[in-house]
Amino acid sequence: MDILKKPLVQRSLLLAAVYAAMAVTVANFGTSGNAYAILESSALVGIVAAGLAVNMMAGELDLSVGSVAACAGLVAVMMSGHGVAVAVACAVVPAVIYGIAQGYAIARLQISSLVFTLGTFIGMRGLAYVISDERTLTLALSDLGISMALRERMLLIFSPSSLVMVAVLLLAGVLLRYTRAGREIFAIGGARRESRAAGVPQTRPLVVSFAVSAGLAALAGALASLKGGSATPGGYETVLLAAVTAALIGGVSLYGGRGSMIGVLIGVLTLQVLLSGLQLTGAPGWAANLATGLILLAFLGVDLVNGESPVAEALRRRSIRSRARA
Amino acid sequence: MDKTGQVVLEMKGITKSFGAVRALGGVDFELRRGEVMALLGENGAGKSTLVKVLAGLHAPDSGDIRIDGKPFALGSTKLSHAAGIAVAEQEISVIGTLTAAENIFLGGVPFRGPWTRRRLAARARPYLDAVGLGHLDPAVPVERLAVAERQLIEIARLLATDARILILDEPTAALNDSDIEKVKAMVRRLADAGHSIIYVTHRLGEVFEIADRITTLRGGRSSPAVNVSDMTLDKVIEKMIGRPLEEMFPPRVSKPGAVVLEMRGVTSRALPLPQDLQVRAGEIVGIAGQVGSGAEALLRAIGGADVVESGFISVDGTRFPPAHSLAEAKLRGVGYCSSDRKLDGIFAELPVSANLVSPSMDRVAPGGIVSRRRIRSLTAELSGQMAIDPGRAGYKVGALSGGNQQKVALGKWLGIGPRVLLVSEPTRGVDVGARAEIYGHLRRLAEEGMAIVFSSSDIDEVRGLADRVIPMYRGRQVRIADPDRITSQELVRDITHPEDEAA
Amino acid sequence: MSDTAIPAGPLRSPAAAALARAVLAAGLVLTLAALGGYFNPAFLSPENGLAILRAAAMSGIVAMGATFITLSGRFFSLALGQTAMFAGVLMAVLMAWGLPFGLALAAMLAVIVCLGAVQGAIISMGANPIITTLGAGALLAGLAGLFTGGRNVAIDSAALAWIGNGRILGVPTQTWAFVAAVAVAWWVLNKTRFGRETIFLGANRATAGASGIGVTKVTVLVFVIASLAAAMMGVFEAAQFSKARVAGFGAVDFDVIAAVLIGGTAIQGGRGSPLRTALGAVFIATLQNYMLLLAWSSGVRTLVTGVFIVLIVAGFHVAARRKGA
Repeated sequence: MDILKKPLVQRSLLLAAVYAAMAVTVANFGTSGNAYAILESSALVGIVAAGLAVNMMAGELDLSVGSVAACAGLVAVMMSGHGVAVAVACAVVPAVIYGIAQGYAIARLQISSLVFTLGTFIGMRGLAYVISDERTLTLALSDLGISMALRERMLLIFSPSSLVMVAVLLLAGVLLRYTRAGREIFAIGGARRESRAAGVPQTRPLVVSFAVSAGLAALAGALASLKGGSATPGGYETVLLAAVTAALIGGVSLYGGRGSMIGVLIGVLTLQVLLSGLQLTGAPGWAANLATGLILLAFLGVDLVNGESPVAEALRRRSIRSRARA
Repeated sequence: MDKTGQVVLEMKGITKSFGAVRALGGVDFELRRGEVMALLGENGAGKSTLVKVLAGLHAPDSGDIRIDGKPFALGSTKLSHAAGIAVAEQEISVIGTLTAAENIFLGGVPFRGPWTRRRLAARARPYLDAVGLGHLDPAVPVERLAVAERQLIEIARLLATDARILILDEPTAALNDSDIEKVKAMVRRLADAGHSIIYVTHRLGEVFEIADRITTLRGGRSSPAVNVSDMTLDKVIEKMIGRPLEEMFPPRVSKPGAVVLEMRGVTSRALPLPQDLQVRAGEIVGIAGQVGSGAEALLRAIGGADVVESGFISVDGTRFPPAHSLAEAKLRGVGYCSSDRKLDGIFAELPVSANLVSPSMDRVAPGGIVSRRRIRSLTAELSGQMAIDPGRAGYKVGALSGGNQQKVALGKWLGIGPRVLLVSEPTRGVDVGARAEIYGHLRRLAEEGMAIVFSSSDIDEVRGLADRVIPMYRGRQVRIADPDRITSQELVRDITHPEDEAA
Repeated sequence: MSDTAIPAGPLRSPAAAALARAVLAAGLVLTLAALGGYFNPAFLSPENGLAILRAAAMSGIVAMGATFITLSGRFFSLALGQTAMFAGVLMAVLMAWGLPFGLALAAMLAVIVCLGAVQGAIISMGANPIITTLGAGALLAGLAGLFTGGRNVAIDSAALAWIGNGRILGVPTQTWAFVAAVAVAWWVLNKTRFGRETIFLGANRATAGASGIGVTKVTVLVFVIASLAAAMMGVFEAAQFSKARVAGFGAVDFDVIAAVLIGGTAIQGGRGSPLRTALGAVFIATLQNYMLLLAWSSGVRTLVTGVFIVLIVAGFHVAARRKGA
């Protein structure tokens, strides 16, 4: 039964259990049409979570992903007249350059990424308002075909955007696992001091991780806005919460150095299965917030009790005391 | 041994200062091909700084460096790498979540193409074999390995860089005997294969087994290298210390009073074997032991830093609650100074006065309201007791010298009127001059009626300061000894391989 | 062997350094004011000054509480905006059930104290504060939705209406509350044992624990204080419009954090002061007001604010490291 002890297996089982529970209790949940819908709605969070997970594995957190996604969505909608490829490229390339600059600054200044990205979070949000002139941008009628094409159902349960998500996760997983750059990200995330002593370059992995988080946030924002047919400068405010939650469910540690992209995929799907189930039962919009918050705190708790945290120690003291009293 | 090997590294007149502290004051150093050079010196003698200069982590302020006879400027890790120098630092540098093979190729060793399990294993195998880890699965995460195996992987990484000059900084500090033998055999083998090795160690015994020559540092200055065959242990110690050992330590005044600290059958996660200990008022007990021996763990258990799982501890006859916390130990008059001052001994960013009053908030803030007058008077009282310059009460502790930092870390406990003072590595990072002063303070506190327990890996410190010596080895108190009746050699043996005695 | 040489940093007296920083911050504000007055005389009018202070008051009050979190080394909370919103909603809902204002306020504050305490307890157990509060914020947003069905709740109370729109000596109540909050925060931090322990915790949590300081107690308290400050803002907001809104608090967290960081409180904790946070809040309000008078769009204003935060924070960071190393 060793296989049951593997975290990934446990998390897959959790996903299966949640899905099964929903399928039994919620009407029309277990259909292929709903599976398509779940995957389709996972694309945004999944792609952002892939980038953010790389960031978390490096032991950092990029708070600006939501603002970057909003900017990218606006740019993509503006450029939609030139075709999907050009529109997405126009959104993603500047974001990657921004990510490189941000990663470089954080690495060289040796500043906390939370502090730095908080500033860029606000700045990029402002930029979104500036480039959109504070309006919601919509696809021209002639470009609405793009929106249809991106959500076209294919291969039974997939769509182009959910396929992009799967591809991004697989590619990121392979690159993290089998390249020096990927291993360096794990190294500096899990053991910053040790990695420095081992001679691992400190700047490069940080730059890569921030470039990936910004680039994938932009990709997600561009695809989602094109798919939805419109982009607002205030959009994607909650994507950070959802992506972090998904990554945590998937076993990516906030303390860096741990996690896998398969885990992130499982995490994203678990979250979306739950939210989709809530939606199908007719729960109002705020229920999603409530559920996400609860799940996030629950998995934070799991992380805590498992690790060498003060909680674990406090629990040990407590149990020794109660034994001594008995 | 090839004594005529050509000189691969030559350093002349190397100096390095940090602010007002002169860490290296003119060091000459020479290393030949295929030799093992022991680098010896007390804490604070400049060994770490010299190693860091060679590693490229510190640029020297002045001096000449020649590699293979040609002038060479060190100053960055890249340049050191180009010079063929590789360092296994004391600091752990393997990454637990990565595999053994990945760890070998991580730090700048070329490895092109995909990092698949099979390709990594094939490339890593010869290096693992070379350090005696041939049996190991290269794909196993390092966090599952024993400490010794991690150490060997660090050395395997050095080999993979094709370095000719290997610097091993205390490679055996955390190892047990059979592992030490493995490392020593490997060092010898590497030297015979033509590598030049700088071997930094505290264990003088090892030096005579594997080194060809010895360079000693004292107070940031070097003395010329000498052949091991021309030396004896006593001569080496004299070279390192430069004066008779006795002058460092205050005289003992043995009139111990009533039992203050008592522990019976205490275990913790780090101390699986039950521990007993009795310390009387006025007594200083020295626990000798290396990293992982349990010496520090014993102090941590008493102080409440580690959870006590069974047994009991009492101070002045009052028992601690089971699994007591740091705060509960403090309430009963126990002050605990860990071996890592910067980590949890001082607030480096806060002024001296804030540090000194920090455990005594009850005294300076009666009813929860802070009284500046009380802070001033307690600061004056404690600085007076520990001879800390009162003019510096407003300075950040982080800006003080190691000795003054340690006086603050010790002195802050005096505010709670402690019955027991626990000090781990009392003079780590303290320069030689200030050490005698620290010893003097500890002795005086004992005479005032405190029970003091300290742990140390420095044999001479334990013998010189303690009234009773307890060597520890793998979580076991080997014996309780009178410091005057145990030689340094016996004590070294007790804390490194006491099994030999039984045999 | 660890002969870590101690770099002998410049031994400048801390009081002088603090004074220099305060002078620098005040100089920055004054320069901005002078520039603003030069280009637009309306900027320096007393009414505009009051307007700035009033704008600074709302996020400024919350920032007083948040300063404690940052000083204690727990970075910051991303739940403060939602806490403010939830506080307003809860009070309005209780009043809609027929509770008098005072009782509703007390019941609401009791709930808010519990919420802050729970967050603090979780974080003191080792959880990442950012993520914990992010989750807590989402939870509060959800709960507010649960209570209200997502609709604003009207309040009918003369006392509250006065709190929201009244003036004392011609100065809005919010501004008075801000000044009071600054004074209380300063007093607590400098004159109480808890304040000192907050600094100890931020300066080095491990040393604080080893010195027998109650790490859990302090962490719980700082989050309670921050939550109460947020609740205060929620009450003022609800009072001003005579209704509790369930949206529109999204930017609060970032205004608050911006005030703390621009005030120069070190994100690692242990260094900073409520006074400087207050200056930070006033600085941001001044900057915003100035840009408003220049008729810049809200997007440009946000962008400029973000750039300022990055520059100032990076500047403080570099300066601190220069001094430390």
